[in-house]
Amino acid sequence: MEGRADVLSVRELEIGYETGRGLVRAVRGVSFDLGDDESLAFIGESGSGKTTLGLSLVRLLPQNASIAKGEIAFRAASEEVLDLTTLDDEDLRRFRWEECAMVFQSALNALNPVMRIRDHFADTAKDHSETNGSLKGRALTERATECLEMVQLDPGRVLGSFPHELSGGMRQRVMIALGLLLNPRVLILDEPTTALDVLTQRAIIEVLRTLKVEHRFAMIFVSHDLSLAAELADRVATTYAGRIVELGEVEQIFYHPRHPYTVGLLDAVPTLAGGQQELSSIPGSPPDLIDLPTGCKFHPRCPYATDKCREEDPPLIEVAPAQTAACWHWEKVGSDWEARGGEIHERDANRA
Amino acid sequence: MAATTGESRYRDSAVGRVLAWFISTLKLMARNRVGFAGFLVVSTIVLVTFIGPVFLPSEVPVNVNEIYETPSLSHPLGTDSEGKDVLLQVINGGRPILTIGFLAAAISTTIAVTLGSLGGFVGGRVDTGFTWLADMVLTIPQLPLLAVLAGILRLNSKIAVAGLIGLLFWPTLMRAIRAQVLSLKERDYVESARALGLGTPHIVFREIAPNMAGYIAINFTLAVTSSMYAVVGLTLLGLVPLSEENWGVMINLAWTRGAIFSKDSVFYIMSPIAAIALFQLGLVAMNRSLSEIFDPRLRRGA
Amino acid sequence: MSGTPIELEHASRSYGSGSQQVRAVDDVSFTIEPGQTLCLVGESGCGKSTTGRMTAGLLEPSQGRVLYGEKEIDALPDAEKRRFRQAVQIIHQDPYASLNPIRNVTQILSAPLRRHKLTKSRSELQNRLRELLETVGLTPPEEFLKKYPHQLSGGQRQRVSVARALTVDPEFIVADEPVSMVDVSMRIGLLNMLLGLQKDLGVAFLFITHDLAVAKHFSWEGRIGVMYLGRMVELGPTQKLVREPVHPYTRALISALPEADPELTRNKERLSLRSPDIPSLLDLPAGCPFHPRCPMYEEGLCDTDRPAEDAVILEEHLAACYVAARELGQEDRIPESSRAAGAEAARRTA
Ligand SMILES: Nc1ncnc2c1ncn2[C@@H]1O[C@H](COP(=O)(O)OP(=O)(O)OP(=O)(O)O)[C@@H](O)[C@H]1O
Ligand SMILES: Nc1ncnc2c1ncn2[C@@H]1O[C@H](COP(=O)(O)OP(=O)(O)O)[C@@H](O)[C@H]1O
Ligand code: SF4
Ligand code: SF4
Ligand SMILES: [Mg+2]
Ligand SMILES: [Mg+2]
Repeated sequence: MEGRADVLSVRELEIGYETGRGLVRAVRGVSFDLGDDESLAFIGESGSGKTTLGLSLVRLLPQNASIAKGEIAFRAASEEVLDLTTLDDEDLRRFRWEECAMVFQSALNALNPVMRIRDHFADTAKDHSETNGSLKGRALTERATECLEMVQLDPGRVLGSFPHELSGGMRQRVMIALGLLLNPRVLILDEPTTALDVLTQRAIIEVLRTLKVEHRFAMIFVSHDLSLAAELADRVATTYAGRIVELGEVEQIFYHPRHPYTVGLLDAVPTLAGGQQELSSIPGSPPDLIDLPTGCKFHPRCPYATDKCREEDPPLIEVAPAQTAACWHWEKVGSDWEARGGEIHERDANRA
Repeated sequence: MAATTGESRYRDSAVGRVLAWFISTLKLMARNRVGFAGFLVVSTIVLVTFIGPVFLPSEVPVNVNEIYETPSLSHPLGTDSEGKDVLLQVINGGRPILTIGFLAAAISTTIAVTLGSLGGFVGGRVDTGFTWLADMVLTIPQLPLLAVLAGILRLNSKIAVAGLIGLLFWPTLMRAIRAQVLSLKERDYVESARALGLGTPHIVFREIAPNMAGYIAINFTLAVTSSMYAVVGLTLLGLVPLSEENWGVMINLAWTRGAIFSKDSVFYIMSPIAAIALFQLGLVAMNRSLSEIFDPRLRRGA
Repeated sequence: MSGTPIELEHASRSYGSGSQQVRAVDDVSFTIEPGQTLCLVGESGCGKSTTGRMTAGLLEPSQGRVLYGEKEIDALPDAEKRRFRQAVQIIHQDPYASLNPIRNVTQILSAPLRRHKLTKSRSELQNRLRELLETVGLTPPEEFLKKYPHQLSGGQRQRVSVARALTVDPEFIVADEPVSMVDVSMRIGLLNMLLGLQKDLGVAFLFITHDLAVAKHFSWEGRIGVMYLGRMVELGPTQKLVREPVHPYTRALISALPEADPELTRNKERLSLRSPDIPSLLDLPAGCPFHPRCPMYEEGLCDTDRPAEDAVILEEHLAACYVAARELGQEDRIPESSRAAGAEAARRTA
């Protein structure tokens, strides 16, 4: 992509989990680029490999996982390009927080209950002390204060608190602040708003928006919540059974989807604005990642499926400038969508 | 179901069903190697001590020429102070101890499960009463009491000994079961069962208790262990006048005849102790497999 | 479909004791007529589930009453109590906790059928099981009869829970966040199936959710009740409540909700709260419990008396807010003490 500096380029990434039942193919042939102040959202059902992908970007995959193939090229602040799939332990340690930081799913339980928030910051700094010897004492407190302010928490009150003294939303923000401590270039957030109440969710979204707009972090969100992507993402990738099936600008994905799975997801989510909606869910359930269907992995649930789909897996191809989709019948999917557009779809009506 | 399709043709008869259940249980046991090894040890000891004596002389012959011999081909574990073969005594002496252990464990587990489930689920006065009873029994120092009671009651049948031990050993498990029931009864499916009006017996015995089966089985084996210690302890102190040979009597004799002071007799005194230890080790290891047997997630395959 | 209305009359429920006692639900009233839907929305811990369990007769109110028809459920004669027990069923939130892991679908569904002698013979039982599974969209039924919960997906388990509730032909179902733990792609299917029960079988619903968009979809023709810290702060017909919310808390919720539409959600008008933190139930603010966060807070008026749930009455639409009452010309519904305290505060600042 010309005119844009990519901080991250992933190519043909394949990740599997070795299990008693066989190999779980959690990520299959994933490729994407992330611009250095861009936010990219991965949306898809539970078990579609979103968390696994996030973990691989910070090289925190569990023991039984392995990267079978592919490349994760990261352009460090020094302009040096690192391939994360081959990085040694020493470089990795430095890389993990300074370059990419990840805020985990279920972060709510990730804080140690017997440690004050201040000590959580100290611990994170200490873990990286070889490369960051200076972050101690006064400097550490200052940086921690700065990070907490970035997530709109009152450092005076929060630093001395134990996790249980904070609400769920505050703990989630502390986790984000911890991620910011070593000033990473890319922030990866796994389900940052799931399991939080609407008003708390709103507070987190606003914090993330500030980080994106004012502090220009590059961000990757992983979520099954389409509205989070609609709020914050510049680009959206729809994932199904470990693979990106559609990737495009946020407006393209929400207003001009070309993959039946994206269409299915959009049709399944009610909006509060507007009148009563015709909503339908996607029939069936996601495939077993150990025993994937032949051809297009979506065919057992796809209303457009034909024999060709059952036999051959469609490649990701360009369906519009900057938009790609992996579907043999994307043109038909697109024309059907556009044909019913204005009438049924509140979101299109609201746009007009 | 994949694990059991092979046996499906037996399914029609009751015998076939039991057989199929047995085979799939063995397969589940085998999933955990340590647990399976434990199972093998336990079943070997049970088989040998219960069936072995049938083929052996009930009285091990005395031979004054072979006192305190070290192991040899003819006496693999050596001999005792009267020249009797130790191995034969170990085989003969397991049955009474094991019988009492299992019987006492059955009694204490039954009391614990009944009182614990009822108290936990029904609550109120019933619960307070049972808990009070358990606390009472628990505060009494058990071995001394056993010793005193054994002295007073002149216990001379295995059932009486087992009953006495069982009646004293239930409170700990009862409290654990009660705690489990208290948490299980808050489960959503129990609330649904209440909403459907399925009734207390159904809820306690069909919805709640089966969920504790693995836990109860494990505790049963632990109860077997502690009951065996109790009998051995009592016999060692000479409080249970069991005349037949048993592991407790062996230790007692070794003790009273000064075997512990003699270097030659190490095999005599160590053999019953090793038998007990081995059996218990087997039980503890077997526990690893027990929870798997009662888990339908494993029983039915994925 | 003949049925009996269910009513909560000034119901409260406390948990804990002594200084730790909290009122999880405080003085909540509503009636649900046969075949109607009421959706309860609100933040976690605001008392939705407690209200639901009281309505289903599974939890006794510490104050107030739950009425089935005209009678309090505890005072019902045995036969009617049995009828109530079958007429009102509950569906829980967590698909992993709502089915007993050691019982398969057949066992789960046949227990109530047998217990209440709802099927006479083995073949009738089999037919009924099939019919139930088809009703909840688990087809072909044969494929599910022998399955254990762990062999089903979250959405499928919730469907089994619904089928279990349907075994006793209920008139009324309390559904406590039935879709919030189910995958997005399957949520609407489950909701539409429940809507079908309402349309085809005339089942009434108390539907609990924290997602206003789901509430809107589910009870388009029904009502929504918004709870805050154990109280009902607004209750009205769905379409009105969503378009013209009266209570500032409802407005805050609506404005904060992210929507699955980029332009809509990015250009939405936002109402900012005075404080992000929910007060503890142990230490409730004086007057209106929302006042420390409310963007429309007025000193004196809002922190003297607690607005009753019908401080504002617009036909079927109620709201517990004095400022709204004043703006809507219902000043006479504000108690004298609050009016005076408001006027006093205004004079002081002037
Ligand atoms: N440690 C592991 N060992 C084996 N399989 C795993 C492991 N972690 C995840 N998986 C499997 O890999 C697949 C992808 O999991 P992943 O957690 O990446 O999904 P996800 O898209 O993040 O889902 P969710 O929305 O539920 O968080 C799933 O089939 C999951 O069961
Ligand atoms: N069994 C219980 N014991 C003590 N407190 C409870 C219990 N159930 C709920 N609560 C408390 O009551 C309040 C309301 O809970 P609940 O009705 O579950 O709310 P919601 O369903 O709206 O999240 C919360 O503060 C909760 O912690
Ligand atoms: S390739 Fe075929 S099956 Fe796959 S999404 Fe497109 S139409 Fe559906
Ligand atoms: S009474 Fe006052 S504080 Fe309460 S909601 Fe109304 S305006 Fe806000
Ligand atoms: Mg995940
Ligand atoms: Mg709840």
